[in-house]
Parts: sequence; C-alpha cells; structure tokens
Amino acid sequence: MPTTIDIENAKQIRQPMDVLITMQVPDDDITLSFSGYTSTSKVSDGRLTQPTWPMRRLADLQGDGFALSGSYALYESLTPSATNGKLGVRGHVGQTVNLTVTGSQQMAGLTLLVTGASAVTYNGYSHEVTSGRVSFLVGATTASLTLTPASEDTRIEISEVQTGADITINNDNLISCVLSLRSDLSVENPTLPESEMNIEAYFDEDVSDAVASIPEDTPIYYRAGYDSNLSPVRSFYVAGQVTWADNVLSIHAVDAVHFLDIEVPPMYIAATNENDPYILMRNVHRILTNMGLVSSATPWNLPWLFPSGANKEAVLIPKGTTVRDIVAEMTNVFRFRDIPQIYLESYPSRNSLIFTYVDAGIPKLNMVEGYVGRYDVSEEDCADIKKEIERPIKEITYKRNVVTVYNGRPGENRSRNDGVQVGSAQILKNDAVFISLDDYVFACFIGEESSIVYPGGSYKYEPMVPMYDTRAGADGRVAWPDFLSGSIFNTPHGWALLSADTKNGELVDSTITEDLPIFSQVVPWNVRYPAAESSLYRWTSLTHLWNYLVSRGIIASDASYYDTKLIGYKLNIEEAEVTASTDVNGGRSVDLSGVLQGRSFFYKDNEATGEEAFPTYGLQEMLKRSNVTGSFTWKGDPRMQPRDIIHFHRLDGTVEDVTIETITLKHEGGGTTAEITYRKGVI
Amino acid sequence: MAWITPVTDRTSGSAMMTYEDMIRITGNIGYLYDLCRSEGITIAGSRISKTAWTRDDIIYKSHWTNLLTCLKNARDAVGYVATDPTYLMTWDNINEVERQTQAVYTIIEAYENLPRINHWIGDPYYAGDAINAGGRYE
Repeated sequence: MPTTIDIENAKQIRQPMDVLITMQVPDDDITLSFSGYTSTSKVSDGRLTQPTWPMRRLADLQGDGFALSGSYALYESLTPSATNGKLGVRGHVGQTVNLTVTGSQQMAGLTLLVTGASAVTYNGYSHEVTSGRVSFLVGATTASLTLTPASEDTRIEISEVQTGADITINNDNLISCVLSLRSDLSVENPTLPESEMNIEAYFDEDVSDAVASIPEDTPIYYRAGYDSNLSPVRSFYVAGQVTWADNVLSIHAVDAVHFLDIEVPPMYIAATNENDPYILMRNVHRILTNMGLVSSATPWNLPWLFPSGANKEAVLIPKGTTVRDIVAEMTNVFRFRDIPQIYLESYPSRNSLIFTYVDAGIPKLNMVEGYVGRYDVSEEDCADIKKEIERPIKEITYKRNVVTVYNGRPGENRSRNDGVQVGSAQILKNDAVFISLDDYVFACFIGEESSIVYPGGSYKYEPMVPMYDTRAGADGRVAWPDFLSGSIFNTPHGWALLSADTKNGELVDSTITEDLPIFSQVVPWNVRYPAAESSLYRWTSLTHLWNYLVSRGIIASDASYYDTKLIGYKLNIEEAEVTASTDVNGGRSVDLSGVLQGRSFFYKDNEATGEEAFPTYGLQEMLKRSNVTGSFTWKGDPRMQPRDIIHFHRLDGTVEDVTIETITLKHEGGGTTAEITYRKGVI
Repeated sequence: MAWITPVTDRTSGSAMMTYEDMIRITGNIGYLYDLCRSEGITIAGSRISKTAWTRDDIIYKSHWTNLLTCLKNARDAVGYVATDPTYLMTWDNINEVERQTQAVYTIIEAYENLPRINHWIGDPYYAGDAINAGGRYE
C-alpha cells in the first residue's frame, strides 16, 4: 500500500514536506540551585535535580480530586529522599509559579519537567509546554522563570529541572537544510565516509549567548516527510561552533562515523584446532561491539569459519587499526553475506555477520539481511543525468601476509610444568601460553595437554582482550579499580600496563607502555575451583583469567600457588605470499592491501579449492562489482539513504537497478530536491 | 452548614475524592458536634477545625487526625461503638468515615424524636406508675 510520501512523489507538484529537526544541547557538570518559588507555591521542597526520586502522590483536591486507590497519601512533613519521594515545587491552583534557577556556570539551556503548566516565560519569550516538558535556550548563569497554569482548576507541579535544552527547528523557522548522506562503494581501498547536515534557521529570540555554549557532538535529529509518514530519524552531531548572525542560527553536523575512529587493541586472532568454532567471526564481532557498534548478532550463532588445518592460520589486526578501518574493509572486501558455503545446512541457526546501514552511514551488525529501501525513479523526472564507466578490473593483487610467531606458535602443546625460555624473559609454568607480540599482539593461547583434565570439549583457546576503560581525572591521573599488577588498561592516554597493585579508587599516575606488554611481576594465585562455566570472557585482569582456567579444569586440582609470569614472543610478519584473482573481463589491475592481515577459511575448506573466506572471497566479490556509476537530480525522498536500491526506469523502457552511493537532500524555499550518485547493480 | 446525606456506596479505587466530598464529610462531622450541643448531649473536644475546602487544598495528615478525633467524640457522645477509620485514602475507608457519620446522626435523630416526659423535682414515683419506655427527660 503506498504511503503518503509515495502518493505525493507520484504527483507532478507535491505538497511541501515537513522537516523536523531537534537538537539536544547538553550541559554537563553544572550545579543548579533554586529560589524565588516559596511565595507562589502551595507546598514545595525545591528538590528539582533528583530525577530518581519519585514525586510524592498527595491527597490533592485540585481538578477532579484524587483516586481513592490507596496510592495517594495525606501530606505530612517528610525528609525528601529516594524512599520518601519529593515535593518539587507545587503552586496554587490556577496561579502562576515563579522560579529562579541559578547555575554554577553559564547554562546553555534549561529543560523543565512540569505538569499543569501551559508555558514557561523566560526573558520575555514564552515557551510552550508539550507533553509535560519544556526546553529553551538560556545562555546565562541565572534564569528567572514564570510558569503559566494550564487551567483554573489545576496546579503547576515542577518535578525536574535539567541543564541543557532542546532546540526545535521546523517549517516555521527553517531556512534551509542540506543533508549529505554518503557511502563508499568503490572497489579500491574503500573508506567509511562521513555524512553531514547543514542547517540554517530563523529565531525571533536572541539566542546568541546560548549558542556560544552549545558544545561539539551535541546530538541533533532529523526527520522529514508528512504528518502520517515521516522518514526514519537520522542522528547527527554538531561539528564546530554553532553560529548566530542576524537572527539566523547556522549548524553544521556530522554523523557518528567519527566515533568509530577508535584504535582497536592490536590482536592476533588464531585458530588452534579444527574443532575451534567461531574463531574469526566471533572475535571480529567482539572487537567491533566492544568498540561500540550496535549488534543484533550473538557470538554463539555466528558462522563457523575454520582454518584449513590447526595451528596454522590467523588474522592479525595491526597496531593503529581503527574500528572505522575494519568496518570499511569488511563492508567492501571482507564480505560474508553472499557466501553459500557457510555451513547453513547443518546449522541453520548460524548466520552471516552483515553490516546494515540503519542510520545514514552508521552501520549496525546484523545476523540477517537488514532492511534495504527500494524506490522507483523515472528518468523523465530527473535532470543532470550522467553516466560514467570505469575501466573494468581484470586482476586484483592482494598482499597477504603470513603471520608466524617466533619461538612458539598458537596452539603449541605445553605441559603445565613446562616452561618456555624467551631470551631473558620469563618462564611459562602452566599450560596457558601468554604471548605478547611486539607492537602488535597480546593474546592467550592454551594448548592441548593430555595430562590435564578438561571438563568438556578440547578447545582451550581464548584471545585475551584487555578491555578496561578508565577515565582520567581533572589532574590527568587515573582512578584505578581494584586490580592486581599486570592488568592492562585502556586509558585516555592509550594502553597502559599496571605496574603495581592498586586498591579501588586509588589514584596513580597512568603509565603508557608502548611496547605491550612486559610482565615482570610474580603474582601468587590462590586457586579456587568454581564449577560455573561461562561462554563469554573478557579478561580484565589476570585474576579473572586465572579463575577461568581453574573453572575449566585447566589448572589441575593439585595446584595451590603458582608463579605465573607472562612472557614475550617475537611476532614475524612476512610479506611472503600474494593472492591474485583474475577475471576474463576488463584489463585493469588493482593492487589492494587490507587492514586485516592473514587468512581465514570456511569449514574444512582448503586452499586448493579456493574456498578461503578472507581475503580471496572478498576479492572475488570485488571483481563482480559493476564499474558503471552515474548521477542525477530528482525531487528527492527523505527516506532514502546510501545503499538503498533504485529501480531506475530509463527513457528507453528498460529498468536499471542501481545502488545509491551518496544522496544530497536539500530542503529550502519550501521544496525538496535530491542529488543522487549511484553504482550499477545491487551491492 | 446543613446536614448532607453521606456517600457510602463507593465500590472501587477509581472513586474520586473531591473538595466537595471533603466539604460534606467535615461539614457533617461539624454538624454532629453542633447537634449534640443543641440537644444537650455532652460531646468532648472542639468542633472540627476545617470545613471549608477548595481545589487548592491538599489534605494534611493533621486535618485527618482532627477529623478522626471529632468523629470519635461524636460516636462517644451517643455511645456508638465502632472501630476508628484509618489514615488510608481508600474507598472503603472513606465509606466507613461517612457510614459512621451517618450512624451517629441517626442515633441523635432518634433520640431527638422520642416523646418528652416532664418531671419535676420532688415528683414522687410509685409502683405501678406508667412511664413510656424509652422516654427521655428534658
């Protein structure tokens, strides 16, 4: 059934679209105080900054009275608290309430949660209360507010005052909004590009002071369409300074892609055993979700990707790699969604890991193909139609590094009492091989050892991912939690190795260790025997790791105290092998070098049959990508985003399926237009 | 304020308590106090303190304490024995307040309507004199 937007799009002249833009201006670390309300209030305690304290439900006779359900109580003097609740500020029935809000520093805006009020007047301007909430810009340290009652029979009740404000821009004050949504469907060294939004809006009220207080990364939300049929919300973040001139507010905002510029801890993801499931997908999934990407996938139903043989292949994430790098590469090169051999026959619940672009350029990890918009556009309705054809690719050359570990490789069997001497480094005295690979990797490998009792399964490998984030205090020092020395932390300054035991909350100088990690501390471990077995691990300290080993029965029951030391291994990365894929078409050679290094295979696949998940399959996928691109200008649809499909009805009657690469939507002068670039085919 | 027939037929928590309800409840309790006094019935304490209610009012616990005290005084004045209503703002508790108010009023009304028997100090009584049972002295 066609939607309102579809119906309007079909018209030669469509109704102007509604554009709704909301910016949430935060104010952190501002302490508020309140005054001036007692003379206009019936009862009050002035507790307006305790959002978790409930408002007391009083036997209040305002309006139609209160329900005799037992949930309303007689008023009595109680100390406000989370248990007793609070009064906030409650006015007299049908009368205004005055409230003066003072901030410890300049407040960009204020938001009030209030019932029984129709409007709040500040600085001569009235702001309407909608759904119990009102928000407005302030730009001062003190704000004197007057609240107007909504009716003669009810009283104003203020429950919450927050710093920060919502700014709403709609057709009434919008001058222009240009939305540029971008993806990169190119085949050579693809990137994850940033989308942006530029807005100009008119305000009667002088908000110049408040505008100066709007920080970068302030969230701003965009929707457009018609009352009953608005586009999905697109989230953006203010970039640079919001400006104000001649009553015109100018905002530049970008999407969240820049939040993915987070460096991934260098990691070596390896399989040690043919029975090891999930190796690659599970760990890449872990990396991405740990770094903040939303995922609907769960590690245990990710596809099985096995190496061709145990102890042989691995994927390396080099130091300096960001989440954005990985996403860009996995989106265009490291692709799984079309792979047929993914072992679905036996394990239909195991699915591919797919990036879905849910919010313009922002990816989400899904287990199934996400929604992709499909639109019909006629060439006769378009202008500036261009078509370009790149020279096709004949060959892709990919330098695939072979990763080996000096003096001990993943999965090499170790006796619990054996040790490994590495230079002057330390001895391994249990079956867990901890390796720290210079400049690249720290990981934990646990080899098979027949003398050790395993409670179930033979797989004993988990990469150790130090994932404890700390926040630096104002003095640059870090409040460490209660951890033992040897823990690895992600500090605001980078990865750091804790060189001494700390107590909870203790402030110590964070030390940044560029060469991870050199462990020298001898730590006595008190062995325990928990029976619980968890399928997910995140090592935040050696204690956790040790408990895991014990719980899995890897540390034998006769152990009481061990001198456990971590040892350093040398990682060699040799540019030893080159994969070349060829296609009969075209004549151009492309030289790619991926961010992720190493190899990964499907279940029981092998090199001979070419069923290599990475990088071969990804490269073949790239060879299939069309070299035809184009662009056109159209009336535009705010629901469209990159990677959506357009059925392009050509003048000659043919229909060409194309994938949107970028779309620039312009709302100005009451109209909407779109400039669209595409790549041929469904990508 | 004149006597207003109490409401005692609330059946669920969706019943509302309005300022008119409070005017009726407190007014009736005040009325009972006045009636006792006018009928010469000894009633303890003072008249209920607040009988004027508007939408601007919130019922304080002190208001309710005073209301319950006055209701008990009225009950005691006529010898009507009942359990004290509680401080809960529930439909059945408010029903009980108004039911007790009505009960006290009914007793006083019945008392007021008994036939008068006038005796004088020094009037002798003798065995066999007929005196109307339940008669009242004035």
